[in-house]
Parts: sequence; C-alpha cells; structure tokens
Amino acid sequence: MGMVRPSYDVELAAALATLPAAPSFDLQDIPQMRREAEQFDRPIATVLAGSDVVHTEYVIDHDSSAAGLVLSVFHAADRVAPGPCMYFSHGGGMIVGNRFSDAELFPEWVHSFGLTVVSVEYRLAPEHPDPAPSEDCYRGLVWTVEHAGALGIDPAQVLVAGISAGGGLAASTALRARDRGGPGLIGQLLICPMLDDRDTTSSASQFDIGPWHRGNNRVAWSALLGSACGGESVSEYAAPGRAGDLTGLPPAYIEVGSAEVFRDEDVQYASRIWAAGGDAELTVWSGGFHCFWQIEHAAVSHAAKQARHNWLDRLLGKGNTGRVDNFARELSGVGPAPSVGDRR
Amino acid sequence: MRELLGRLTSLDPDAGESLNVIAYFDALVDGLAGLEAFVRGAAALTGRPAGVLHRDHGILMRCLPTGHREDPADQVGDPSKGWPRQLLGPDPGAAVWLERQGPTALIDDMVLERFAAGVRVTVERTHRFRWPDDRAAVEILLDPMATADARRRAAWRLELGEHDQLRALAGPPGGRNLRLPPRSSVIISAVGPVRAEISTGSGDDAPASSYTHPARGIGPAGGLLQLPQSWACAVTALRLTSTVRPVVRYEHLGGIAVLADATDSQPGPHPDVRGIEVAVAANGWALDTLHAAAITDSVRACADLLRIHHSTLQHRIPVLETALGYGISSAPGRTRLAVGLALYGLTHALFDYDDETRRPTGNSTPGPGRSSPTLALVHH
Repeated sequence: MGMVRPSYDVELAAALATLPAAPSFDLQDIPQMRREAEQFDRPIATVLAGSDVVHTEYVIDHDSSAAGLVLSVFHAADRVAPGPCMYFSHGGGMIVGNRFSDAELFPEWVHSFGLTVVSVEYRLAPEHPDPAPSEDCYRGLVWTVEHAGALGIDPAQVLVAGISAGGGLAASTALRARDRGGPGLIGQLLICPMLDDRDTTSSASQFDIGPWHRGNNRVAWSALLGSACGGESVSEYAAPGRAGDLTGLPPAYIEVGSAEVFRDEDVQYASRIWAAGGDAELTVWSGGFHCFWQIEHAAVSHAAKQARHNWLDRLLGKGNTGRVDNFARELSGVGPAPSVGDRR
Repeated sequence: MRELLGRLTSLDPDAGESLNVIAYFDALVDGLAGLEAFVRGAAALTGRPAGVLHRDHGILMRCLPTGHREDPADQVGDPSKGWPRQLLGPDPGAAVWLERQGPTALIDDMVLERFAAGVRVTVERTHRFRWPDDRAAVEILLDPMATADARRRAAWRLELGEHDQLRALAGPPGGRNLRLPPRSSVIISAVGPVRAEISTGSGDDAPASSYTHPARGIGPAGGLLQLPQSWACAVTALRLTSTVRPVVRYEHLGGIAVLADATDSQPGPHPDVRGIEVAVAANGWALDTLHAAAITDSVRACADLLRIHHSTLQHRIPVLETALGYGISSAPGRTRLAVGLALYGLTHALFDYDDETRRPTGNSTPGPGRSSPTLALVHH
C-alpha cells in the first residue's frame, strides 16, 4: 500500500512544481550544503536597504572557544525605547545558516510591532554538537536581558522566537529560562519548530518527500546528537518535545503545515502545554510544507502571516502600526503602501 | 531554514523560464485552484500587478506581485493603457492583463497565454451558471425581439452551439428567491411568473431534476432562432398540464394547441368551461377526476389512476355529469370533456411565485391575457 499523506495546497504545489526536487544529503554533505546555501545569502545591508532599520552587532563572552558569541540587534531608526524585544534564533537544522538567514522578516516585525529583534549567531553542529547551540541561545538571552537598558529593551517585554531548528531552540531557551530562574519571558513564537529527535510520528513517516523531508531531518539530528540520537539520554533542552514538564512556560504560538515532518510533534507540544495548564495558540495550515510561508504570494501564506501577526498584536497589546499607516493612506485615497519586504 | 529553502524564493521574474510558467499554471489547473490563484500566480511570476476582467460574470480582480488583492478603481480593461493583455474569447469585455509599461519581458507572453487559459477553464468551472447572467441570457434567447448580436452573445455564454437542437421548457416558478438551475430564468408571462429553461436534450431527462414541482410544458425542438417560438409553445403546453398529466409536450397536443389561440381571442369563457367551473366549485376532487376520466377509457382504469376504489368513482360520475350537463361515459362525451378541460386549463392556468403547485383558480380570477397572447419578457 502506498503512503497516504495530506496533499499540498494548490498554490504551494504550483510553486514547488517550478523548482528542482528537494536535495537529500548526508552528514558528509553538510559542508557542500552550506556552500550551496550561501548562494542564497544576501548581504544584510541589502536585506535592510530602504527599511529604516538600524543594525548593531555585539560580541559577548563565551564559555570555551576562541571567538565570542555574536548578537545582531535590529530596531527601527525612530523607535521609542525602551520597547519590547524579540530574541530570535534562525533556522537551518542547527547545521546551516546564520543570524541573518531569516532577516527578511525582521523589518516588518520591527516596524509593525515596535520590536527590537536580537538574532543570535549560535554555533552549529556537527562541529559544535549538543549542548552548544542551545546553550549559546540561552546565554545570549541572559546577556540581552542583563543589558536591556543599553539595548533600548524593556526587560519585562521579552519574547523568544525562532523558525524551524530556531523554533526548537526558542522552545529550549524558554525551558532553560524557567528551570534556571532566568529572564522572565512574555511569549514564545515557534514557527514550524523542530522539537523532537525521536522520529516516531505519523507526519515523519508521511513526509519522506518535500522540502526538509524526513531523511534530512534525521541527518540534522544525528549531527547534533551523534549516537545518542533517538536514545534515552537526549536532553529536553536539545529536543524540547521530550520535556516531561511543560508547566510554567510563557504563552506559546505554534505554527506548522499539515504536510510536513514537524506537524505531529508541534501539535503534541501545544496539546501538552494545554494539558499542563499553559497557554498555547496552535495553527496548522492545510497543505503547507515546511516553511511554506516563504511562498509569499500564496493565499495560505497570507493567512499564516496574518494569524501570526494577530497573535503578536494581542501579546504585545498594541496595534499594528503598519496597518494604521495603510488605513490612513486608504482614507486619504492614496491606496495601501506596498508591504515592507516586498522585494518586487 | 531559508538557507535550505532559498530555492523556493527563486521564482525570478526575469528568469524567462517558460517551462516554469507552464509547470506553475498546469499545477493550478490540475489542482482546481480558484480564480484568484491564477491572478496571484501571474503577478508573482512576472513581478507586475496582474488582473482579470470578465464583464459577463461580473469578475474584476487584480493582484500585486506579493499576492495581495487590490482591485482597481478605474476601468483597467481599457486597452488605451497599452498593457499586455489577452482576450478570453470573442467578448472584448473578457480579458487578462499584466501591468507592464514599455517593453515586455520575455515571459510576459507565456504567462498571459497560460493565465488566460487557466482563467477560461476556471471560470467555466466556477462561474458557468452564475444565475443573474443565465437569467439575462435565457431571456434574450426566448425574446422574439432580441437582436442577432445579443442572441449570439447569450448563446456563447450559455455554451449553446449554432447547430444544437434546443427546446424551451416552462414550469411553475418555485419560490421567489430560489437559486435557479443552469440555463433558466423566471419570466413574467401572460399566466404569471413562469420558470423558463433551455434544454439541449429531449425534454424528458434533465429538467426533472431541476424542478421541485413536476408540472412542465415542453416546447418543440429547433435551432437557436426557433427558441422564442418553442417558448411560446412550452407555455401553452404548461397551461394544459394537470395533476394527473403533469408533463405536456406541445408536439403531442395536436389540434388542441389551436384552442390556445382561440381561447386567447375569445371575450369570455366557453359554456363548457362554465360547467367544469361549477363542478370544481362544488367538490375538491372534481378537477382531478375529470382529467382522469378524459384520458382513460374505463371506470376501473380511471379509478386506478386516481388511486380510489371504483365504487367511489361510480358515485362521483353522476355528480360530475349533472354539473357538466352531458355524459362522460361515452367516447364522444370524453372527447367533449377533453376539449372542455383544455379550454379550462387555458383559461385558468395562472402561476405565482409562492405556489408550489398550479393555482386552482375560482371564477373570479381572470384568465390569461385574452387581449394578447404575446408573453412579456421582464427582468426582475
């Protein structure tokens, strides 16, 4: 019997049809994969061009190796400080990427919500296996909150956020902050988070195809955990899906596609937060593959972004200023402004 | 993860990759995507705002390359803007366009072609029988005064071919705000509002599912230009339906059809109609019983048709014969009754929106437009 699985949303499928098949890789392919990924990198100055976003880098102490941990801080040129902060960890399976990988999303967050975005350059596996990536993320958060005044951040308004592997790291950071009596957090924004190395869900079995398929996911976890991967000794800070206690966590927004490996572990994470008496908002987008919202023009991507921003609106208790501007323009008959990040 | 999915954002508007354009639109068509997905796709692939205008279906849709809907305030289909555009068919009011000024990009032609093709099949699937448009088109095709051009456009929208064998069907209107089935309308006729339908079939099959009430008059088959005549015949046939004979084909009426014109030009009802009116006024069962008696040739067959016991029928017949003033047991009597019933039907048929069935009218209700048999074609 063939594998049954949810089909892709029609617009997402159309976009996928224009692209070469998703590559499969193995541990030894990681350097090559990083080189290939780099060709999609754009200089951060290019990403931010014309967005009125100020970028500042900080190098902070680190515990072992030679170089320090780098934090990139982004805020609106005309921000009112102190304001809320989004402490962000990027995607890339904990094996590729850098603190600018998802930077195209930052200008809209900065302008629409008055956020200062702090993006952490955590170390990558397999050169730096667990717990290096998650410890880096936590250490960066602690430093950020300790230096809130200098960074223009209100320490009482900090949320963690991340995409894919970065979503897992954000969840891990929230667990550590709880367990170590660390910084208080107002929320955790987990976008298609990579939460569990055990590879036992239905969605993992279903999606041995598509962007970030099961095979690649296994390789990434192996790079991080080595032979411990899937076994009993894996820490819940490496794989937050394993955490036994999900009480006392900040409100979570968990967003995932119905057609991706992470669907079931993300749904379970939300369910277990609720069971523990916590606050979670879960959106599962029909026919969405991993990071489907990168197909920006698709209707389901618009819906996902709108829901995500709606949660941020409620979390931060302030209106989305971008929409106010658009409405003001419509009232004056000029028509809405092109959205920030519209590169075309 | 953008590092790994960087490929996904590489729908480069300048790439000129016609294979990708084809793959994209084919996937939308195969996946039964909605109309807006095609507009979004065209805009995203070209990096320019794109739109579709389809006046007949009331469609005006424009999307930005981000996929956001931003409908135009002005007349975007205006060819004077010089944007690349492609018509969807013979109608100049149906086109897709890309808002590119100056020289076109390599993929524009390919995108427009696939965009237009996708919109065509999607509109056909999703908008084919949008009821206000079918109403107008049906009414035009049934109107003897419609111009040839209007008739051609109406036929195009209803996808009726020049050589199709078509017939008009008439029935009770159903409720006032019903969603009408395809190729149908409600037309104010001399006998009140009547459901009109254009059928490409024999008249036996498709309409049965379209109507909640079975009463139906079926006009003769002919070409597009014969539809007004077929419609007039269908209404005549409808006027001659009854509970026991709900479907009447005009072709089967033979000479009885001549009675329709005769009735419409008469100043008042024939005395035999009066007799039937007396019978109907006295007994609720009278009309069905008379219709059954007229089309059967034995008491038992008539009782079977009415699903009553034959002894019950035998009690009714003398009552009816007294009211009529003539016997109906003999063949000549039944013939006279059949003609009388036809005249009665022609005189009394009157439809209303809220009636589920034909209205059994009393003497006070005026008959059909005796002054003129011409049927008013009214949009409402």
